[in-house]
Amino acid sequence: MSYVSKEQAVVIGQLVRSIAGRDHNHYYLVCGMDKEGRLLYLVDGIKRGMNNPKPKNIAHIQVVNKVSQQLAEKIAGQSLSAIPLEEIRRYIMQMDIDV
Amino acid sequence: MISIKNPGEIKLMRKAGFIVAETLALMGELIKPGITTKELDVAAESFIRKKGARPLFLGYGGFPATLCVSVNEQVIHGIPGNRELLEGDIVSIDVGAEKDGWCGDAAKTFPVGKVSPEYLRLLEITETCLMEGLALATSQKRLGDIAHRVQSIAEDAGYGVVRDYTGHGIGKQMHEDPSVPNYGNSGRGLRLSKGMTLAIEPMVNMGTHKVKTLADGWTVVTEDGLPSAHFEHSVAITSNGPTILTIL
Repeated sequence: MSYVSKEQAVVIGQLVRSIAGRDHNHYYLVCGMDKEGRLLYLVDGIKRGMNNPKPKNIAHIQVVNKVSQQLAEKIAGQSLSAIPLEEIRRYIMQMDIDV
Repeated sequence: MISIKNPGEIKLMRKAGFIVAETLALMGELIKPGITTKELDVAAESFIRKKGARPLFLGYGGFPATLCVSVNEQVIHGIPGNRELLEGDIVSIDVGAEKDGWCGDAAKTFPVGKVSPEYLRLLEITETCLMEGLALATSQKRLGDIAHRVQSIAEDAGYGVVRDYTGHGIGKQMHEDPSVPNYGNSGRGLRLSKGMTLAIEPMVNMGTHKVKTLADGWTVVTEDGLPSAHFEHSVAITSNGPTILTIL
């Protein structure tokens, strides 16, 4: 049975872990992506919020099998800049990982 | 994390792989015009259980059957049902089994009755992709070498290679790291080493590489409606080169 490629697996609100770069091992939530799904826009609620998401190549992240439905719903509701950093941070804390 | 298997573990995987190969051989005998995909599924499940193994796909992520049966434009993950196979169809059977905690996974596309020469060419090219690709599964080669070989054979023949789904590592779990794409550049990607076990599975479309998933959440079909073929083997990388685990 085939494996779903990373590009297919990643959805808005997905928890991911950086595996390359100075932010190695840092956790983010996905808040957007380009058309091919190769470039992800990531937020961590610390330095990176909805106004300045971190662009990162999909090859440089590991997909964690958890999705923040709250963030996904907020983004679907188009209230992007209305999501404060603390809220994003809370979403990540709720995902029960050792951040 | 990529797990490296020792020769004893590879022997155990060969047992699971052998059951998978036998199941595929049985499917080859059963496939004929008029049989439904559900009948194939029932036969495969009872055969695998009779051999003391467990159907690997049943219940995996909620998948409801033992086999993935994908007919013509269906690429992969087709759910068996009441669809009858017709003369001239091509049908991809993907099967997995777990024996003593180790997994085997393989797939083959069969012609149903007499099929058109274009369809036969698609099957031949896809099988060539698989065999040529897995011949490169030796230590010191890279994942990109396999991927590039598969992609170049398929695209030179005028076909498209599916990008949204990939092969995978296999062992105690069906899906382990690394993912084994069917497209890419040679000399790039993970360096292969002895003890890795991979499921290499080119999915080749007669038209473009684009696919979409149907409303059932599983069945993947080609976007242009043209047929697609799928061949897969589980392979262990040993000091003597690649060893196919899912062969009779």
